[in-house]
Amino acid sequence: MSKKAYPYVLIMPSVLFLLAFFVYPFLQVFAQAFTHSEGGLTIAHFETIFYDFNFLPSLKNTLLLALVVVPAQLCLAIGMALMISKMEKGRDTVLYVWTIPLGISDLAAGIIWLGLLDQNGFINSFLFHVGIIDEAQSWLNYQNPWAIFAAIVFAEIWRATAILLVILVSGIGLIPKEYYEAAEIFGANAWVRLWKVTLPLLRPSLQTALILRTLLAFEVFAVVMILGGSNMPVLMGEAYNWAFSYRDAGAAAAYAVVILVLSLLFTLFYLRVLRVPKEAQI
Amino acid sequence: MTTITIENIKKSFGDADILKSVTLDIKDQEFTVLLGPSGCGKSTLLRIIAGLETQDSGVIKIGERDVSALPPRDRNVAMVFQNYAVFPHLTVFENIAFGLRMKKVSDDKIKHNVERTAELMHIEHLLSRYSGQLSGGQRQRVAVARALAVEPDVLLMDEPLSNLDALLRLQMRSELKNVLEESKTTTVYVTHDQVEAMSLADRIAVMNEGRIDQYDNPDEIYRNPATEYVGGFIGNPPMNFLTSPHWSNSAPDGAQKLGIRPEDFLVSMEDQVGYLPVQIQTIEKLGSHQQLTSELEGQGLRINIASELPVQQGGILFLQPKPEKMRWYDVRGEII
Amino acid sequence: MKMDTNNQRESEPTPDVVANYTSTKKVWRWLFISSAAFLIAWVLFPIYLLVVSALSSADVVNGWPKSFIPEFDLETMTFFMNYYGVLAALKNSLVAAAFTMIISIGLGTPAGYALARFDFWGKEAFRMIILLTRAFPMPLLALPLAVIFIQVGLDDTLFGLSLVHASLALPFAVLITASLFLGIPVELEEAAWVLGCNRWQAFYKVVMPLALPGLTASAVFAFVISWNEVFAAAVLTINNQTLTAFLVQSLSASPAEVKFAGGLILILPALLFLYVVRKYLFSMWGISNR
Repeated sequence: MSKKAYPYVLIMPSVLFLLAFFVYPFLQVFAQAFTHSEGGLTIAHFETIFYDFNFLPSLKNTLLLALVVVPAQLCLAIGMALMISKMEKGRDTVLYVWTIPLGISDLAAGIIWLGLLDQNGFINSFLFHVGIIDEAQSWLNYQNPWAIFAAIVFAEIWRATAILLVILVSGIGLIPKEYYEAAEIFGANAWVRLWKVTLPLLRPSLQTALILRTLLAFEVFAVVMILGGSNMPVLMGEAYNWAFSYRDAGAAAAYAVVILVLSLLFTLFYLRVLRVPKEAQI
Repeated sequence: MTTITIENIKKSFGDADILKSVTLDIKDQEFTVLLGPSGCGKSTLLRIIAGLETQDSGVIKIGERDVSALPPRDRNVAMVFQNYAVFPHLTVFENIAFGLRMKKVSDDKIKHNVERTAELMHIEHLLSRYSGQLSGGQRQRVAVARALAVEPDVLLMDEPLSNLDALLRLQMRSELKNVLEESKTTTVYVTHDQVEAMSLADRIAVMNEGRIDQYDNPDEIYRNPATEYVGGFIGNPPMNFLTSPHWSNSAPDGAQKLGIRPEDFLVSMEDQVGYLPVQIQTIEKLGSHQQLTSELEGQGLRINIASELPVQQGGILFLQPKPEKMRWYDVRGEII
Repeated sequence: MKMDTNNQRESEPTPDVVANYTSTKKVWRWLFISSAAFLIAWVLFPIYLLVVSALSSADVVNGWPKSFIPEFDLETMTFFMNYYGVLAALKNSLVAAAFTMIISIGLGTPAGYALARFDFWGKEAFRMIILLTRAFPMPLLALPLAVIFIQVGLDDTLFGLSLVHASLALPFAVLITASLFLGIPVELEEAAWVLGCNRWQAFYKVVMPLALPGLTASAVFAFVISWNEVFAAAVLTINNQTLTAFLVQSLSASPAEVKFAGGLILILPALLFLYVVRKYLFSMWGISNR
């Protein structure tokens, strides 16, 4: 075997695998979404979902969730990453604890927060123990859509801030500390250093983190199923319902296309807004 | 008999010609140093001899064997790397034994060889340690021992001392010289440090942009640099090159430049016949001598003079080159 | 965090200013420690409460108000384990995760090695495809695959599911192993070649032992990706449900004990996972994608 062939032989299995299980189904989603069950192009599947009473609420809920959760997580993660970078003792332990939710699925996170927020849950119990309420209150029902929304926001922030944290911590680690020292010598205080040194140099990491996290926010599914049930439709949940409960693969694929297009738009948006010219990178 | 014959080796990476037809004959048991600045192709040449890179064209022979197309494992060479490349997951013993185990040598012989080379490199007390527990100098010793243990036809060394601190480097240098002289292995050694090259080599190959400018023993390289480049690279400060100086009455035909080493001047405080005045610009007192930077007829000139001479910055000094030390170079920069 | 007072330009700081400076520093320090502690509690306390629920008797799990101290009663866990379908789902989750692990490491390691050690035409394109997979909601691809799997007879099989999970885990495996191999100096391999190894011998005698901890970490990561995945599992399995699919589909039907005990079982690998991978956390997301 010639030396030049080695790398191709080595990547071949994963290339074939990705072609079969990423590229092909990816094209197939579009094919399913735009073709009739008897063949032929159609937009009928999109009409089906657009006229469904759950479509607009699910779109609104998904976008709203992303809009509230992602910025909150970003601020929190930046704060946590800065704290980690200032820590000496116990840095590894704190980082370990803070990243635990990384390994927790949104299903498990939903269950955890259900245990807190349920009618029989710990938060009600706490409020009772300290004498604020006299009997169990039901928060998570259809009369309190904002409570359900808030519960999901909390559960999502709790679960998925860790991934941003990891990306930002490693990004901060790449910034040489001489830059801070130089800024400090020229009279920049901590606040100025954050805005003039850390954040600008962190832009590539912020970009990665935001793209990844926003896409995951569009995929929000199990948390919502548990905490909101049918009171809180989201895109991914609707895709699941159409595929599984209504057995309509075309409509499910149409939902998938909507989610894919949203993901693409946001990815492009972040790539554009947070663009860093190659020469200006560390 | 392990000579190394290198014939018309060419190598390029993309558009860059790293080696432009290199030919070199290395004798049995000879210690050859490939010397040159970074990017001159010396490491590439070494890696081609090892088989780690493949030449675009040309032939490599070790002894009578044409190894041009053989993988490294079949060339019976050993190599010491700049960063030592001591395997971190193996003990020192297993590191030294690694090559022997690959050759399926008997355990007795392995033990014997490992202990012998470890003793030679003074690391017999470290055999059960891991590389993480060793200092840089100790790792260096392990790397050399590992190379010698396989009793290679050819020993290749790629800047093996450059990661050591200055003092350790001096010590290792003299030790290496002794060990390698004793082992009688044909050795090719790459460095950019001319002092290292001068002190270790039987012959130095000075490389310049993918070519070998001169391949000769250290004295010859110092005294009779084959090209302007070699004269300018070897020696600290390097050889002076003067264009059409007033001393050129003895110049041969076609001579373009006079090459003269800084210490090869006759110096006088007063004007004498055949002497020319130079203006002293800076004086560096170096203890054993003084190093002057001066100007002669608009050309820079470096001179080493005895430390007792009472020179002053801005003053005038009278010089004449020692006639037997004058070297003449033609338009192409080659010695006449 | 350090806060500078605004009087630094004065040549001789008065004792007053110095005292002011140290006290501001103290306040910041106190704020720093307490917010770190708060965030630690924020992460750990909900998990603790899940443990409390899972280790309580059925009466307590369904009762109110709740105590914040666990009873250490195994009734809930036992009930969960005996609940119809749980054991099978647990087994299915383990099998699918194991398959995912094998596929993604088996295919990803060679590709990671190629990215780390070779320059070849198409390398950047390959890297782009790998990165691109992360810019798409991969579980969605379960939808068309559900249809395709029916055609090829892979529907409702754990192998089919693990193929989808592997397509989620493979890109990570490639990036992690690539950065792993990049961290092993190429000279170590070259030294092995010169000392008599062929490429494969050098790989398993020198590179493998050094990469093993990292490979383990990325295998565990692949395991957890599959273990945690809900959407594709729910779409692709019917009779062979994994634990996540089982829990999500029986949400309204199953009693609280099943949820909380199931939740605890679900997060156990997470804790283990982060412990194993903590050293590799940063290469995990292929963050050097600049």
